[in-house]
Parts: sequence; C-alpha cells; structure tokens
Amino acid sequence: MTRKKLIILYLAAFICQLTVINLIGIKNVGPNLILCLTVVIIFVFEEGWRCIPYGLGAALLLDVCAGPVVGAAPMALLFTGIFVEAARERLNTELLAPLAVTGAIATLLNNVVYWLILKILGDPMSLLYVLKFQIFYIIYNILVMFVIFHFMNKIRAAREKEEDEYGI
Amino acid sequence: MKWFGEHKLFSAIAGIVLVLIIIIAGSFMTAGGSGIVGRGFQTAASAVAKPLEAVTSGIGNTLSGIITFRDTQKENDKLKQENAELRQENLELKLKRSQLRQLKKLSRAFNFKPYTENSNAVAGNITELDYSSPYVVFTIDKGKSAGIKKNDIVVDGDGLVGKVIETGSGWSKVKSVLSESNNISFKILRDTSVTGVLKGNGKNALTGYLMESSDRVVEGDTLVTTGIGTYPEGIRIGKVSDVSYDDDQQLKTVTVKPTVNFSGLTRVAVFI
Repeated sequence: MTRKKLIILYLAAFICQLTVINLIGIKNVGPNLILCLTVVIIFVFEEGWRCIPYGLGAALLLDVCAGPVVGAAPMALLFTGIFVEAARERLNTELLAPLAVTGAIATLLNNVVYWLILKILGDPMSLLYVLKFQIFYIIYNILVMFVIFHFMNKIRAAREKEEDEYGI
Repeated sequence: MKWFGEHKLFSAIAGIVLVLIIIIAGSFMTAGGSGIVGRGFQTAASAVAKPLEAVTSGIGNTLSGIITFRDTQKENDKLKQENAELRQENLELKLKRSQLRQLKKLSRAFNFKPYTENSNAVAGNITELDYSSPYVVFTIDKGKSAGIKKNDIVVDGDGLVGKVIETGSGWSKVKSVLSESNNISFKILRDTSVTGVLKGNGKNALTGYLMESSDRVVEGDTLVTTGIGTYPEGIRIGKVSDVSYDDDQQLKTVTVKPTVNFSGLTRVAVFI
C-alpha cells in the first residue's frame, strides 16, 4: 500500500465514520471503520503495520470531531494494532475465520482500552455497560472487515501475481 | 541515546504513547478541547461533513419514507413538534402562580435570569456523530458566529441533552448529560419543594439523591433543573425509574431515565 493510497483510504474512512455510517447504525451502535481498516491491512499485508501511523492520525481527527477526550481513540488503536501485528504471525492470513477471531478480539481490546482511558479521566461509564454492547460492535466490525478483506485480498493476489511474473 | 538507536521499534512506540498521553492530558485539562490545530481542523471537517450529512440524512429520510410513507412521517414530525411545544407550555403552567411570583422575586434578588425569559435559542443539526463508541459526543453545524459559547446548554423538544464543550467557526461540540460527572441540581415537577442532585451513572441513565430523605418521590416523577449551577431552571431532565434508600449514606437515591432519546437525535437547540 502506497502512502498516497493509505491517506485517501483513511480520510474516506474518517469522513464516512461521522456521516454515512450513521445510516446503517442502529441505536447508536455502528462499525468503527478506522479500526476495521487498520486490522485488515495489518492482517493481509506483510508490512501492514506501516498503516498504523495513518490510522492514528485518522483516529485523532475522529476524536477532535466527536470524541469526549482528544487522544483516547489513537491510543486504543495503537494497542490494537500491536496486538493484530503480533497475532498475524501465528495465523493463516488467507482465511476469513482467523480474521473474524482477530477482529472480535481487536474490537474488544480497542473498546476496553478506550473505556479505560476515559475511566481514568473520570468518565462515569461502567465496564459492564460497555461490555453489554460489545457483541453488536463485534458483529458490525467483523462484517465490515470481511468486506474490506475481500478487496484487500484482491490487491494482495494481484501483487503476488505480479511478483511471480517478474520473478521478484 | 545509543540504546534508543538499538531499540528503534520500542522507542517509536514509546514516543507515540508519550505524545498521545500529552495530547490526552491537554485535552482533559480543557474539558475535551482540541487546541488551535484541532479547532482549525474541526472547522475544515465540519465544512466537509455538513453537505455529506445533508446527503446521508436525505437518503435516510427517503428510505424511511419509502417504508413508512412520507406523508405519515411529515405528519408525525409536525405532531411531535406540537407535542413538544404543548409539553413545554404544560410544564410552565404547572409552576403555580404563587411559586412563580416567589421565584421572580428571588430571581430579581439574586439578579438571576431564567432561560425561558431572557435566553435565545439557536437550532442546529447534528453533522458529526460517531456510532462506533457508546459515548454520546457530537458536533452541530452552528458555532461562534451564531453566538454559541462554551458551556451553553443544549436541549431538544424532550428535554436536557447536554452542554457545549468547545465551539468554533460554524461548529460546536456537545457532550451529553449522560457523561456529566458534575452534579446537576433537580426538583420534582409534581412538588417543586423536593430537590436533589444527579449525575451520569455510566449506564445510559442518571443517578442521584434527595436533599431530604423524608421527601416523597415515586417512580414516574418528572425531574426538572432548578437553575442552581450550570443548568438553567425548568428544563426537563428525565423520569424517575427507580427509588431506593442507601442505608450507609442514609440518603434516598433515585435512578432517572432521560426524557431525551439520544439514539434518535438529529436536531437540537442551544440556549445562548
């Protein structure tokens, strides 16, 4: 993934997150596009972790526009990114099932770290209340991850084919 | 320095964490503020999000119009507005005349201006709302130019929504009352002598206690703001959903379900 492509992808994800996603959100629950994009890119590509700084930038912008505290979302995303990078080494990255498991844990980790930061800063939201909705966030995120995976996998396949042809 | 050079990855991660901690601390110190750069970005983002939000809400309305018939929806919106106005009227009438006179006297004595008499309201559409988090924080399309300031009160037809935490050119960021960690002073509409304080309980509701444990409160009682503290007087907060007695603190505690439906918010009013 080139730097230009990553910037465009994350900018589009950021704008869609605050606007278009609300169309499919139910009862204030919707997918986290920036998280989904980060998880899938790290999962699919060998050097996918390079997308983390772009993801952090997008998450920071998201916090500026609709976050209770600026900086909490990128912090949560950073830990999630590190987890996914560590997990991909041990998983078959061409299958959907490992992605689903990684996506579910990543969603949970991201939201718990986010909650923890806000809790430290005095937010009254309880962990049990946050966990109550996690299943919906996980389902939404996994569905979105599958869609992104479909496209990313095509890019990966095309790249691999190109490398084989040119004997790289 | 040599050690950092040898452990580049660790140093990079530690550096990012440190920078983020500084950003979080800075934002926390300014109650959710995002600094000059953040405000500048927010202005740009709002300019992009506004037309997009108009398009998406248009699509949303069309889709729901197909399902529920457009005319019915229009009629429903009209009725909702009428209902909200009537409820506000009803609320004002419920304050007895003598109490009103007494309150006005007190208002004059303390040089207090209740929002219903002296405040102007600015209506705003929600342009940026993140559905990927359970925290209700959103941006509206009205800002400093409309006269909105930090800590201005945000309501909708059903009652108290929250307050403005940051404002800029053409946008204002609003934090919901559910995330309120400071106490909100309330009184019961049925008997305005019964007062207490509330704050967000982290479970999409508010919890608080009565000033006098002997006071009577029942499930279904409507609570309104008293005007003490940040929130002006007479705004509906919610309905009592549970009453209990805390033996340890010897306080009568109440759990309150907000009258505002936070999952269906699209338009709000700001008292300036």
